[in-house]
Amino acid sequence: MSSAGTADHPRDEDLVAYLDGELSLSDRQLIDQALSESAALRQRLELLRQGDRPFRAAFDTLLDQAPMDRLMAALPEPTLSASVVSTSKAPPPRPANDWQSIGVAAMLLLTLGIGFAVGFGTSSDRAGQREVALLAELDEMEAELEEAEAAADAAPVVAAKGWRQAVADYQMLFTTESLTPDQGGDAALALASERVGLALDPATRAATGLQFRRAQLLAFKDKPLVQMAYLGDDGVPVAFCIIASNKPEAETQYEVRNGLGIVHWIIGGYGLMVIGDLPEDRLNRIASDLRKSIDL
Amino acid sequence: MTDVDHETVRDGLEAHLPRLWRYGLSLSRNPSVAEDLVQSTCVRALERQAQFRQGTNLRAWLFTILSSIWKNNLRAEKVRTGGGFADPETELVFDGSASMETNNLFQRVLSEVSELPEAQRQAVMLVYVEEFTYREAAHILEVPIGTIMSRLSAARGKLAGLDPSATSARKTRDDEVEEN
Repeated sequence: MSSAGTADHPRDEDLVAYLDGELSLSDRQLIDQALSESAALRQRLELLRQGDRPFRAAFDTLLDQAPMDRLMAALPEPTLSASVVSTSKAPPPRPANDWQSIGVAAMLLLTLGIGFAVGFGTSSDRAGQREVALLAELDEMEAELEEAEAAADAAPVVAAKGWRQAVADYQMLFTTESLTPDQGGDAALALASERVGLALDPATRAATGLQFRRAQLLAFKDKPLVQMAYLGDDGVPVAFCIIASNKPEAETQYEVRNGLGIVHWIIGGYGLMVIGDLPEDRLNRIASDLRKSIDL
Repeated sequence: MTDVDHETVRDGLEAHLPRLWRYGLSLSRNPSVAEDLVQSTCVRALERQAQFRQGTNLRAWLFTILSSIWKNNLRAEKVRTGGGFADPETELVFDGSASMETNNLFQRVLSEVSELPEAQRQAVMLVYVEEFTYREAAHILEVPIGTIMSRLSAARGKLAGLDPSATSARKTRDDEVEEN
């Protein structure tokens, strides 16, 4: 990108590249800076974010419709050596699998996302009910996925995927506006503290560069899952989530799910994660702050 | 997505046929043209397989070939024969759509993308559907990376319902005049 265009007035191209994670760290920081200084720019970013769609999931529905027999006609028969190789290797990923897992999830999210957007601003109760419904759906989906993975418990990595993916799917629905009104969450935080057996208040309200917006007590596979929602100074929704875990302790690790950055770790019988559309180093700093704030 | 390291161009082609067809379909918005595009791509890729360097991105190479055939051959032919680009009859709606009744949202996304100008549609397909990087997409389409950026930005603006005049007023590039 042209940094010259970014420093003063980031253009739409730069904002879209920012959303797409295509900027260098230095360019990204310039945009972060500009966003922190301009409400109009933040608004523009949100507008452009609304031009996002589940493109890949939607188009993956077409893959099965490819007329393979006719397309294959242009290809010569595989040579003997090639066919031996191809049978000895894992088969190429089938597009059908792709859309069944990703597509259904994205469709569900979009359906509920729209419901959420419609409900938002009319009745927070209704929006809340939708969220609960969404979480229940996600839970079901996860359960189905887990069923297919018979040895889920024996494979901590697979099992650990479950809750982080559920949170990531949920987090995709959040916009700056979702969290613009401070929704308090004192009662929820107290309840959450009790249910997970951790003193979450008031320390977790204070993370550098984040404004605490609300706490929710959710559940994943019958285990209480606490979600604390924040807005970054630049309007980016960030969540800090905690779930009880019997997995071995693990240092912080970074990963990306649904295009959102995640820093997660396991300590003292809890799995914790910070998620948001932020650069890795910033998520690490937030995780480090929050980690200190909890007595574990 | 990750690319499987295929032993041969032929095997790679076979694995990527559905994706190439899908891309061809989004460019042409015409199933039979999409088939022609893929078949021409197969022929050309096999002719030139000696030029493909093992260990480089075969999928990107195949998409480059398909894009080039579209740009230089079939697209012109389709224009000549009056196929046009904006014919609503040839939107991305398929025989198989009955099986997607539960899938109205995806169908809507397909329609929205189908209605984008061709240059924007190409960029959306390569970056958001095929998940090539901006740089790879620029290479495939043989355009500067800034062109990819402005096309994606225009597409996002359009999908977000932003006023196109307001969007283009913010632009410094003339990419939009390439087509409509």
